[in-house]
Amino acid sequence: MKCAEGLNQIFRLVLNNQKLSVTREMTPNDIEGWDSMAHLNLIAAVQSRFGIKFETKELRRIRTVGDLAQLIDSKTA
Amino acid sequence: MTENIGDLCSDQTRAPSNRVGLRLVQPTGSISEFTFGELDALSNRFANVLGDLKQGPGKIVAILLPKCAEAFYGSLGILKLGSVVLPLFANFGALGLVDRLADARVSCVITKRSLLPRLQGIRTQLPSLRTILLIDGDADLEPDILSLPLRMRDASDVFPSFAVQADTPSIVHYTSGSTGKPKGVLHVHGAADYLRRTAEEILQLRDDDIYWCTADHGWITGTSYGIIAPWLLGVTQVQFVGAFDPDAWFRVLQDQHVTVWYTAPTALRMLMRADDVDFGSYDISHLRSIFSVGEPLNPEISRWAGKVLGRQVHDTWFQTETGGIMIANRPGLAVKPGSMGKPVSSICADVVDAGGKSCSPGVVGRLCLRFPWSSMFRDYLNRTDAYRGKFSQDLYDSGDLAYRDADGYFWFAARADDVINTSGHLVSPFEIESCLLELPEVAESGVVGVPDPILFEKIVVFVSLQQSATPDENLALKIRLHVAHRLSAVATPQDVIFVDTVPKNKSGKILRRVLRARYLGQDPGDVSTLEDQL
Repeated sequence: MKCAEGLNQIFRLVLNNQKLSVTREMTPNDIEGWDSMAHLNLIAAVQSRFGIKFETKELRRIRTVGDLAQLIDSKTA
Repeated sequence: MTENIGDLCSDQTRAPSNRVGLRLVQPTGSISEFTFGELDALSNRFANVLGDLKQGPGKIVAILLPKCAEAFYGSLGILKLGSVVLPLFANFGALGLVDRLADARVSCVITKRSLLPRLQGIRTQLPSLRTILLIDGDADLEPDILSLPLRMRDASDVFPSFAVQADTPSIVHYTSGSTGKPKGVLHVHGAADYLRRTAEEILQLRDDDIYWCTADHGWITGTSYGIIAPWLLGVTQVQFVGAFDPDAWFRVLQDQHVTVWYTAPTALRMLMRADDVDFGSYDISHLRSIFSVGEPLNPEISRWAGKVLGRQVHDTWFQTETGGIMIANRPGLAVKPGSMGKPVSSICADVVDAGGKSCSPGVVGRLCLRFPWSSMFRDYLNRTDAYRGKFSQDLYDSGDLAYRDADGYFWFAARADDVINTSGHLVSPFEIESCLLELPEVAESGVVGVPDPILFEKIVVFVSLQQSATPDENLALKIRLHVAHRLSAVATPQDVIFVDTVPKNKSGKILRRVLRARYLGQDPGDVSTLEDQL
């Protein structure tokens, strides 16, 4: 799965919004429904779909969609 | 003579009309301010708009919005009109919304365009719903989906408020029980007096304070102490309208000169674990007091707050049903870390045994409150039988187990039922189990709460599948998201365990203690009643 395309699909799935289109600069404040509980679902979905695991410390560094994409890239490279 | 809460909150004699009542802080740092005079005028306009739409006394109007100005002055407008406010968490899923909107027979919903599809998807299940008012957009979308801004422009800012009695209904919040659907907890205008007194006695608010309550208005704290109580005292309140972010929150505390902060243990635990944030770099010298509510405050948080924030956190305890703070720590009372504190001065709390007798100090029993007090709930909507079941003689049974120590401090022990307290929100295992049965893969399930270092309790589901289904990570994710979308993000299972069967007793009741023990690797105790052993 390509990261950018895959991430967009995951955001749509988790936030239940098929019209959503995310960009790397976006933060939780730009995406309706991306709150702390939805964040846990995003992480679970990413881990499942990309077959990777995150450390708790890594999760705390995610402030933007780009941060998440970068983390995925580093795990799947 | 009881005054309408809508009037009391925008009373010009209590707060000068030019004093800021509401300051909304955006994540960008930009600020919108509303003086008490503006809040009064806007809520009057709002009441006139609703009145023109044939809303009025006896009707229930829902607010389905994230934190925004309309949610605040709209609540006052609904109260002034004599209607009842139903504040809803904007993240409720379709099932969560139907359960509440249909049960309350809501006639009008105030919401925004992005949330409209969720409402439209359930519209046929809401026969009482006549009007949807959108806060964004200047044109009506349909004959019954109308633009609020369009109508606010032409509405008069004068409105003669509905005359109320102490027992006139004001607000309804839904709360979860261990069985059945969520119940609508009905509050009244007479609650104002108690909310004002607890804001003075416990939060110790003064009229020059800058107050920040982080609770969403969809929960009781967010209305009782996030909308009403500070405004009854003419206090300026700050609201941050962005997502949780430790730095952003501390910028609010610093830049807005917050003096009294009311938050939740889960938020404090998340701050505590944000070890990349330099809390010392923020000047929070204006902050006089910190309070928390929702779940027991671990002593670990108290120690962290003392060390890092230089202040104690005062834990408070109340419930949707009690309407206002009942037991609390407060400035001036020595804090015993981990304790709930002592009862509010006008409240008589007791710990009783199965026979209704007071327990000796240190003995765990049912935490009860001697009624009445003015903020106590007056009914469960359409469930008066359940309401009556909460009282025995002159005692209200909270459903919590606690003990009292020799110094009169109360200590939470556990819930007496199976309700799960996750990040300060009560979630019913029954609702999740019912929701999971909507999935074709699920044969049956059992839901429990287990201790969690961040959420206090996390939701764990044990799922037995239909023969054709495959237990894998994708299905676990599907289960998780199904609950989040249908009920609410707060009801999301954090762990999905596939099992062959869900343990039940011989009468078919799910044995949650066995599931909990299995998850925690503990001895399940007496299992002689297990159905399988028949």
